[in-house]
Amino acid sequence: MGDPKIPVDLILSKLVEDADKARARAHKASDVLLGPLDSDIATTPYEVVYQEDRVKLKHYIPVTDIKYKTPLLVVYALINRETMLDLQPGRSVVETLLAHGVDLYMIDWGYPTRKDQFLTIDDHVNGYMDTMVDFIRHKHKLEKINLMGICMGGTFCVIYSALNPAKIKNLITTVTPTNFDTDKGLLHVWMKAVDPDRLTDTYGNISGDIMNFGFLLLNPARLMIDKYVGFFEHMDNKKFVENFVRMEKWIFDSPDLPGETFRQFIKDFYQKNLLIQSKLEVGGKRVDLKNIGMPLINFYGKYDHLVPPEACELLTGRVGSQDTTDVCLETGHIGIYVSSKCQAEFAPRIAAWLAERDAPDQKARKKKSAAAKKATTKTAKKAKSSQRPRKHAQRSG
Amino acid sequence: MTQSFSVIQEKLGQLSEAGELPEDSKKYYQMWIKILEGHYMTLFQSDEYVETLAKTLDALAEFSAAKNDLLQDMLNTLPVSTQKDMDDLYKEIYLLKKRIKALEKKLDQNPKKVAG
Repeated sequence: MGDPKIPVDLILSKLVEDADKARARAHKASDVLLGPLDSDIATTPYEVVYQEDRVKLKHYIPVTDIKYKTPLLVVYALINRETMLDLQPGRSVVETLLAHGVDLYMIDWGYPTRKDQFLTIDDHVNGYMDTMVDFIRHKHKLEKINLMGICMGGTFCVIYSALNPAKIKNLITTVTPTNFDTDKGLLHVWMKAVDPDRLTDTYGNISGDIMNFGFLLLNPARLMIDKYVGFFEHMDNKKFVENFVRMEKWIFDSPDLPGETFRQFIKDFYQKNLLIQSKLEVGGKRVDLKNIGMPLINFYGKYDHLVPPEACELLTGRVGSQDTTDVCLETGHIGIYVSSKCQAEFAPRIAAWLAERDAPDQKARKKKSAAAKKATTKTAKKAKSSQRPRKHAQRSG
Repeated sequence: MTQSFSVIQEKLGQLSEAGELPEDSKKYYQMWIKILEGHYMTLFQSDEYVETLAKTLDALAEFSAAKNDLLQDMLNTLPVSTQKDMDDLYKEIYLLKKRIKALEKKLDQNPKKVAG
């Protein structure tokens, strides 16, 4: 056996070089970290147009002429906050949609307290969501609006659209779990083993901090070590530090999850996988995916470790709609919304997809044209009858 | 963690034999974090881990429930409302609100029928 060839000199000189760089970086970093940092999140202006209990409906102030006839309602998950869609200027889904002229609404679920522990999925979907969809429909005098869901919010949107197809024109699901019968993704493995009854009965609500710790445990090497190593390597870069702090703010801003919703989500979705089989019941009604007849675009991330592609990709094949699209982006769960790579592939694509489907739908068109025909006939009759007296008047005059 | 260190030690031995040891110290860190990530994934997906996780959560819940019961018993002797009292009240408020909302919706949809 020959002597191992170890370039000890090179390695040592590299280490010295690295140590010098680290010293210089630490020196510069003290200026960055001790100076003012702009780390605000969700800065795009909006107004709260409706509120029910702790749940608010945000309407974003348009930045350009509204180019779409149909407004878009975005429904975020009950886990973490919707601020992720507007995390930093230049990488904001909200900003991009507004720049394309979308009339944008978003549900802010707020922070559930112990008194909210009895709220079920039915209360969220057929309660809050339905009231807010109706609010927008009435405000814009429209029969249907566009609906977009994020993660668990997407699952809610799928349920809502199946129960209320007459109110939804186009459906957009993003990193939305609908098939839970998969072993890809640790959540799917772990949730099959937990006892939701015991947890809900004991704690009431499921603590956001505990859930957050669970999410960090899904990949501790990357989320608890590598992320902070990355921070130390770039801590002299003000922009990097600001964006890092923004992301940390978002990650650790974790509302509690109402216990009854958790109970049903784990039992009926993770453990029994009822939704994709159209066997789920919400508010006493069966959620039949075949009722989803509106156009559907389904985004998911190839490297998503929370909601893997296997959990998302069955949906388009199970709905009744003939106009369905699956979009698999080469990124993870959050990368779809915040990575620089996806800025051009995600929100602009949604805007373009909606633009193609913004014309009044066939049924409404037919209804409108029939109504217009009726109105024309009426007007013509009216015109005739009003002409008659005029003629008569002329005659008599 | 310990396992990842012994694996990287082994890997470094092989690279050294082949004369392919990287010069950049960052490469060593990247190699190690990748190994560690892989080990965690294998551990977390194992039946033993999943079973232990479920048992730990159950035990924690059991402990919390017992602790709450004990506190509850102690509070019962004092003139303060307990969490159980509050939960009962929350449930009543929840059910009442749900009824009101359902009635409001009915009224919005068909005011005449509800009035009749």
